[in-house]
Parts: sequence; C-alpha cells; structure tokens
Amino acid sequence: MFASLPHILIYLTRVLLVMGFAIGLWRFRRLPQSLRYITVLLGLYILIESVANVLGFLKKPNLFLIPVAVISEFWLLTFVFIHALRWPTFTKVAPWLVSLLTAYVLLDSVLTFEAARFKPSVQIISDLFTLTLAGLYFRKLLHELRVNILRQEPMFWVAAALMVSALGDLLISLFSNYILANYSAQTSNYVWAIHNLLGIIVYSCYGWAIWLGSRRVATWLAQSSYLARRLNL
Amino acid sequence: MNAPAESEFFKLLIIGIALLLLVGGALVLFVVTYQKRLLQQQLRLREAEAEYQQQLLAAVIEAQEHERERIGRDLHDGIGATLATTRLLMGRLETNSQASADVEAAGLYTMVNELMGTAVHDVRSISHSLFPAVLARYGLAEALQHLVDVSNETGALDVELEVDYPQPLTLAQELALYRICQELIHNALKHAKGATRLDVLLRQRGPVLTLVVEDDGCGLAPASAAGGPVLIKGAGLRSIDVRVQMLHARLRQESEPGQGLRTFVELQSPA
Repeated sequence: MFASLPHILIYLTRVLLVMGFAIGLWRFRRLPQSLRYITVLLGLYILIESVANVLGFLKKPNLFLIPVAVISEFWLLTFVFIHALRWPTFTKVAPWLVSLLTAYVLLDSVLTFEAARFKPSVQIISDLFTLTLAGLYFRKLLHELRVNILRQEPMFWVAAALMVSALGDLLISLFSNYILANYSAQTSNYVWAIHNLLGIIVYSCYGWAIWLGSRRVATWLAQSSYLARRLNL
Repeated sequence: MNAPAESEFFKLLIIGIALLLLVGGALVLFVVTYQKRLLQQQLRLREAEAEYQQQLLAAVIEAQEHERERIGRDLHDGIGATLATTRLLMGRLETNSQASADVEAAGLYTMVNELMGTAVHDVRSISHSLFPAVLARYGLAEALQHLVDVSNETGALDVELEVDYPQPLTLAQELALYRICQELIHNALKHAKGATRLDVLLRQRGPVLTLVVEDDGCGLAPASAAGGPVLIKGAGLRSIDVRVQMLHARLRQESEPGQGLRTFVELQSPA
C-alpha cells in the first residue's frame, strides 16, 4: 500500500527536522552562536511537533500551541540575527520590539482563547517579522560585501529559507481559518501539505547551514592550530 | 456572501502561493547576482587602486633617483672639480716653498694638500653613492663588484661577491636591486656585531633571480626573523620594502641569535 503525497511530505519534513537538529547537536560546540540558536529552534520545533502529535492522537485540539511556537520563534530568531547582523541599533531595538509582539500574542491568546482555531493575525505578524529579519540580513550582505561566496555562507541559507517560506506561508496563514470553516478536510490536508513543503525547504536549508557552519569553524580551527605550530606558540 | 467553489478557491490559493514563492526566489536570486556584481566592482576598484599605488611608487622612486643623480653630478663636476684643481695649485705652492727653503710653510702645505686629497675622495664616494655611474655604464654585476670593493676598503668586514647573472634586468630594476643590496650591506656593516664576513650572491635559476646577503654576526631576535614577517622599522628597511614592492619581488629573512642573518630577495626576471 502506497502512502499519499501529503503523508510523504509530512514524514519528509519530520526526517529533515530531526536530521538538522541531530547535526546541530553533534557539532554544537563547533558552531557559531547564531547557528547554535538555530539548533535550539529546531529542538523546540521537535518538542512542539511531538506534543501536537500526541494531542492529535488523543483527539484533542492542538492549535493553541501556535502562539507558543510563534513566541519562541520570535525570540530565538532575534538572537540568531543579533549575532548574524552585529548591528548595535538592531541589538538595542529588537528585544523591545519582540517584547511588544510577545505581549500582543499573549494578550490575543488569553483574551480570545480558541484551542481549535488558527490565529491568522499572529501567524501573519510572525511571517512579516521573519521577512524583516531576512531583509535586514540581505541588506547587510549587499552593504558590507564581506562574504565572497554566498553559497558557502551559512546565514545566507538561513535567511533565504526564511524569506521564501515566510512569503509562501503568508496566504496560508491568511486563509487558514477560512479553509477550516468552509471547505473539506481534503482541501485542508492539501494546504497542510503545501505548508509541509515549505517546512522541507526551511529545514533542509537550516541543516545545510549548520553543516556548513561546523565545517567552516573546523577549517578555521585547523588553520589556527597549524599557525600555532608554525609559530611555536 | 457564498464561499467560492472549493476547486476554484484551491486553484487560486495555489497560484497565489506559487507567485509569492516566485517573488521570494527572485528576491534571493537578485541578492546573489547583485552581490556578485558589487563584489566584482569592488575587486576592480581595488586592482585599479593597487595599480595606481604601484605607479605612484615607481614615480616617487624614479624622481628620487633623478634627484640623487643630479646632486651626485653636481658634487662630482662642481665641488669635486674645484677641490681637485685647488689641490693641484696647492701642490705647486708646496714645490715653490720647498725651493725657497721655508720649512714651516712646506709642512703646512703638505698638511693642507693631504686634507684636500681626503675631501676629493669623500666627494667622489658621496657622488658615487648618490648615483652609481658604473651601473648605468657597465650593468649590475660590475656595480655590485664596485660596491663590494668600496665596502672592503672600510676594512670592517671581509665582503665576498658571487654573481651568476646571464639575463640582465631593465636599468630601473637593476637600480632598485642595487639600492636594496647597498642598504643591506650598509645594515650589515652597521648592525652585524661580531661578524667577520659578509657574502653577497646574485644568482639566476630559471626565471627566478635571487639576491642573497648573508653575514655571520649576532643575528636578529627570534620575533624579527625565523620565517616570520619582516619587521620594517628604520628608514633604510622601509626603503628596501618599497623597492621590493616596486620590483614585485619577495623579501625573506632567516636568522637565529648568534647565527648571522640571511636576507633573500627573489624576483621573476624576464625569460
């Protein structure tokens, strides 16, 4: 018996998520700070996904986990980009902005608590925030011109994945409740499959970025130790 | 208002998502290509700047050499000639005073004559040091031989020269290499404490021309040599560095405390 395409995509997303996290854990000490936060973010996704699956298995609503995921994502991505951008203004302003967004998400969740419905406003804010972070990183790349080969720069893959997935996710976020209310479960499953496809893009890029980051630090360490030997340090 | 048909809505949603994904992909592609273009521009700018610096350096050195040549010629043809003529006249006066049996005057004339002789010699050596006429007339090998002969005259060190130089460089390059050698010999005579000999070697191996200046003196402190970067401190060493840059050559120093100093200048010579 063959599994359907949406199911295959779900499994593939999970495999890539676990693989990215495993690589991150394996190379955690060699990773630069920004990629360590990405590893933590992947770990958090695994945890939330596991809880959501358990709740789903028990036939209980699990959409209330979205604000938790969004708030964690806000903070972890902010730390990732504080280290990647190294821009004093962003370092000062970002925590305040994220605190404000967190307060909004918490208020929205508490005041209109709905465990069985999506929160489009929260998801759209999350997508726009992600787009802003990726945009700021691309601005830095073009402004400073410090990276010679973009495909070898881990944070480029992170920002590119975030940019593409956040743009793709915008319409899904906007119409999620509408689809849930008006259309069949099959359509919801197809839309969920597209969401998983975007997840595949993000987790592959995160995994690749972590792999690149660990290799780059390893190369740098090897060069340093060679120089130290040459200079009898 | 009724919701649109399921299949129609799904189709529209898919098209919308695909368009947004295309926009995202296009943005990433734009960043990649634009960044590459900016990097290429920056590279071209740096190359142009480096080339300009090189030209400026060559122009400064050329101007410096012209000025040295002019001062050297003025010294040689002006003061040098005047001193030489005065010395001749003093010689005649000395002969006349000996004839008139004025012993005291004859002694004074002899002393003045000797001083004039020293002054003529000094002017000639300064003039030669400012512009090595031998280099322009006979080439680098002869000029280095002359430089070694003059250095041997000081008696401070036994200077030996070995030359294997079949493919001559241009005059400007030879002059730069000569100046480097002049400065290295001067440094050895001044700073190589305890040195007994100084070897100068100019050797051509294939396309690489190497100048080696080696002494057996006190050597350099470990931080200044041992394959590490050459520390440019004094004006003399800076002048060596500038000329090495002008020649697109490579300067390397090897030294251990008490084991002397070996300086290598390697450059690509025309095949």
